[in-house]
Amino acid sequence: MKQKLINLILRRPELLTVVIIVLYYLCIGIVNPQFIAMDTFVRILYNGTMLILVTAGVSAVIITKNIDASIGSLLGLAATFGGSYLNTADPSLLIFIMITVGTGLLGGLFNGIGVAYCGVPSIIMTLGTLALFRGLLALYTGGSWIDTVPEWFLNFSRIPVLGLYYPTWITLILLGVLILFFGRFRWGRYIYATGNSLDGSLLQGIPVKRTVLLAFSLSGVMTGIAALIFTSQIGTIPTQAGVGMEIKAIAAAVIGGISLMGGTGSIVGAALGAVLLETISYSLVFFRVPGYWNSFISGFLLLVIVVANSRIEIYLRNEKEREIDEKVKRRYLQLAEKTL
Amino acid sequence: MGSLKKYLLWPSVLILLILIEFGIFGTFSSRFLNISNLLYSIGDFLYIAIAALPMTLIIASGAIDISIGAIMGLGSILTGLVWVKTGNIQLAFFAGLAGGAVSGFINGSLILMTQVNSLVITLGSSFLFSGLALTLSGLAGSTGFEGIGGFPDSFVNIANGEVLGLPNPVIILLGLIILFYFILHHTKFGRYLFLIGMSPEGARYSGIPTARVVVITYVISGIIAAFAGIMLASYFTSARSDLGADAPLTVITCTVLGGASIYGGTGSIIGTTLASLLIGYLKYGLQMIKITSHQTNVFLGIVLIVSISGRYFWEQISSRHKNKMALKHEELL
Amino acid sequence: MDVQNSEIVELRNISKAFGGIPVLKNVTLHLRRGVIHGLVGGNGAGKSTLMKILSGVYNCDKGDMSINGQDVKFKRPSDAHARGIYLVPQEPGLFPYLTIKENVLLGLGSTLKDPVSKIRSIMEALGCDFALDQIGADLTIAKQQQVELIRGLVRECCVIILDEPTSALTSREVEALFEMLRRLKNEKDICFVYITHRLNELFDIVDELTVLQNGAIISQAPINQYTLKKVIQLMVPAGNGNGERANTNAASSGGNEDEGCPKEGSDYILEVNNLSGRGFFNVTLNLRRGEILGVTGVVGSGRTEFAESVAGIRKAFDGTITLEGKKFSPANPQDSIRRGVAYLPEDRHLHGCFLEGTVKENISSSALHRLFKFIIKKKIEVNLAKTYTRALNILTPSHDSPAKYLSGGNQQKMVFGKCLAVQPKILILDEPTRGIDANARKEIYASIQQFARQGVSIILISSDFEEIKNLSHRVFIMFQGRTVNELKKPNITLENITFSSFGYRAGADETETDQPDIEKA
Repeated sequence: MKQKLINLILRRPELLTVVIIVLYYLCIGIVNPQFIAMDTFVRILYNGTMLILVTAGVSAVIITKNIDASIGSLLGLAATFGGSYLNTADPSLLIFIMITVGTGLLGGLFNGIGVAYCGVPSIIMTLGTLALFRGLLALYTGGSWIDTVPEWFLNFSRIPVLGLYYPTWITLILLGVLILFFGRFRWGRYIYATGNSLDGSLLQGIPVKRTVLLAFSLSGVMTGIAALIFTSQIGTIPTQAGVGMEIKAIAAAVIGGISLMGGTGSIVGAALGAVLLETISYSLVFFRVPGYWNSFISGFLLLVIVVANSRIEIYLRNEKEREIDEKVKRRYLQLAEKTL
Repeated sequence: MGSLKKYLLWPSVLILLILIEFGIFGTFSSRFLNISNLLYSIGDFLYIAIAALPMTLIIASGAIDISIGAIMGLGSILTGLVWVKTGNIQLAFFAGLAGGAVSGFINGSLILMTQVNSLVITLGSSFLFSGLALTLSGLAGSTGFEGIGGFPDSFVNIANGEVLGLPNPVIILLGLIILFYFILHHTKFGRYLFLIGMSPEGARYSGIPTARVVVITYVISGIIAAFAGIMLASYFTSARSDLGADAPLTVITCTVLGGASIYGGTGSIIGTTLASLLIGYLKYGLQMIKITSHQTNVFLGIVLIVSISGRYFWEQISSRHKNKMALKHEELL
Repeated sequence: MDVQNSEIVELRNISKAFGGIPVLKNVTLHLRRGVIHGLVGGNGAGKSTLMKILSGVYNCDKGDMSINGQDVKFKRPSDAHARGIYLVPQEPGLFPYLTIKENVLLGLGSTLKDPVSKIRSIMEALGCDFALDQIGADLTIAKQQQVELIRGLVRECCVIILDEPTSALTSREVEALFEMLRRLKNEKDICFVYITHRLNELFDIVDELTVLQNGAIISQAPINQYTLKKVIQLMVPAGNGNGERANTNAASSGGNEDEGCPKEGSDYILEVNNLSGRGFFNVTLNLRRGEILGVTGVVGSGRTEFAESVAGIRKAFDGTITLEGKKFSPANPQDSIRRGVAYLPEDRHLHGCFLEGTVKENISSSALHRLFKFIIKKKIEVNLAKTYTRALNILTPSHDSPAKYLSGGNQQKMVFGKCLAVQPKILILDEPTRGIDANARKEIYASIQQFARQGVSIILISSDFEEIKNLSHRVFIMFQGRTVNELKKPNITLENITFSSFGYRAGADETETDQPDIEKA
């Protein structure tokens, strides 16, 4: 029974995230029962859509044992390109979506080509593009903000449908598609296989380079979609749009059980990690903690969670090994008894 | 001889690039190629060049430290805060350094404790440190991103004065370069760093005190980052929590461009220094021709990506050539 | 007969170099249906490289190959799979977190109509007893190898390459594997290429044999034209007529049998009492000054775990270690090294050497604390490197060339030198000759004996029973995590070692018992 539980937690690390989320709600609920309400949850899912999307994207990259640190700048760049199109005379929704998501896709492809075909380690490549994309944004805008997003597009994310808002619905649908993709589709499994063992994947004839390219493109596309939602939710696009998003996304993915060593973790877990982070920052706003404490407390909580997560994992792994030792020892003692 | 050639090749390329850069900016602006101008402009990127030195140590050991930018802000704010509260500038200075040391210690011990990738821990801790810096600046009465000013001349003089005609930043940088060159390339500690970078498990099996070395390295990195932050506060005559926020990327670019492998095991203080000068003057020169620092990022990103992929393709081509030659040689025998 | 012996693969004049060092020189090889083709040679002979070229992992620099008479050029492994060639690597390349079904089907494309039922029928034919939804990490090495075979068979491969398939199997599992190979050969007319270091296996399973040396074929014939001695002699570098075994036999069972052996009753330098830790428990053994103590057992018997506890790499839970009369409980490897216990790890690449580092840096790495207080003095370090490259005959262009360019044997000698640079009183050697060529093996044997004569106490851990038998003055045998038997000089025979290793009393019935001999002592 205990063994089963341990195996379950090792194999499904996102369960731990669920436990932490529930505990967090309980703690907050004891202090202020008003926090636990349907509205809170709707709000968190609304605020968290961008983070959930980019976390899902970056998870694909992390599962291949790479990392994407360029998300924040790419989000800003995609939102800027899209937003400046919205400012033209008669913008069409379709072209706007194509420009924004297309920018994300191109950025992701650029990262992927650098990593898969030009031998640049992913952390260096994406730190480079983090600067590059932000610089392009600055060159394009010359430092000015885009703040005239049409009313009809702002309404898109303000009118609820069936209790939730459009961005939330889109996110949920996309998550479903991604879960299906990773679970059922060949290329989805390739992403896991590549992170599991690069040499093994090569031997199996898996197109490793194209798989890595795909993972980065996926991250780029998700960032592009997040940029759409950014434009609609925020309504203005400052030059520092999306700054720090990459840190949050990587943290959320790790908290959600995506291993930085590649090969394990699930999209559900990643989304849960994002929800947890969003819950924390929403609770800070809820308790009206002064603005400058926000960054400190979320940094502190983040580290606590990463540390706790890893300690639990290390403990569980040790437990599992000890169990195996015990088994061997028991078998040996039984044998010895029989002979005596 | 072969290995000597290899050691000298990359630094020579960097020197060549610096000369080309000087040539290009020189044609744009006659003011650029003035010796005293070149020396004084080091103050502009002193914090980058300083922080790149311990970063070389960390990257040589196969790790990374993203939190140096946050520690710079924290170090400067701590100095400012203690100065405002006590009026003792020496105490303030050392409080800043101590803050950096503690931050580095937190980074190092968290990495050891959790066995999580240093990238994630320092990403997380940079949140913590910059949040703390912001909170402290709030306590000092300056809300948000406002700075703490009113430093005494003796403090402002550190980064703005000169000794025997040499600007102080040049002297500070030279001193630190010599110190770190010695540490990395001539001491047991430096060797430990390289060995850990090549194979952390191998280092442990060889009886190298890896845990202690990792923590000490992060403490050094924290102290130097805080020092860089204090230098920024001195240079700008005000301490702000967001000083150095843009530093990590530039510092890592300098280190990697200088020849340190992001996978650990290699790194050179000379290379890092040359790369810091290259990048520093690039930023400075671009600013002279009216390109903002945000826009400079484009060049920074391109330099980083092109230099790494360039080395990759260079190695591919040269090893293919070497193999061909070897087989030809074999056939002749 | 015609069909059975028809040729499928022809490799002509294949050449390949790595890092400027030629690994294969004009190799020509023919493979035929229904034949198990053995491929042997010292490490660095180029066996694995040749097979990786055949299976599309590497591209060759020169030469060409044809399959069923058609010229082909493989760019990637999937090209080779498409032409019916499959490589089973030395360590099975299963994805630990994917299920067996996914492991088999990944990379297969969608050409098969009903892949799952096909896998099921192959598993039934092979008698596999694992489920398709288990994950890769759950299987034993033997079962992982079966999965690799299934991968090849699902792809309808006609040439399956096995690279050292038995290196991590128990003898029972080896028997099962051979049975499987014979059946596939006869029933499906498959050609196997069988690479091994365990030469006696050749005579059980192989039909034809190719011997490689230094990247070139030096002998090729049906197996019945060889004897074990002849094969070994072929693998010994030119100019030396002695086989490796013959040589070590001469060294230990010759005139000097008693010469190196420390006297019965002399003091123990190391005593281990009921030591327990992860993977081993109640280990009791002792070691005299200048003694070579063999510790053996089958893979997974807890030998390495025990050795790592003495070396301070992992902590023991229980029991005591007494070193030179004083209690010794190392908290980390530094403690052990400072007290004069050096450990040569089992995994050379992961734990033993710094591949990116120079030979000099490798040799000095464990001795830095002893040689330097703060500053590294170049001269002392160079002298240290010189001393040990000379003493152990490490072949390297210079002390400043990277360790990764050394052959496996020279790398191992370098790691050996690194341990000696500590100036140890006790040297624990964990599989010191695994995966290295015959010549280097011989040199390491000589060094072990030489240093024992000089007073270093040596614990020799090995799976190679002959090596244990020929070198050891005394042998402790471990079984399922504990010491089960101690053998002294006249009783150290292959039969005794083998029986004890599997938990049997030598000459006893086939019942699974084990010997608590230690308890009496």
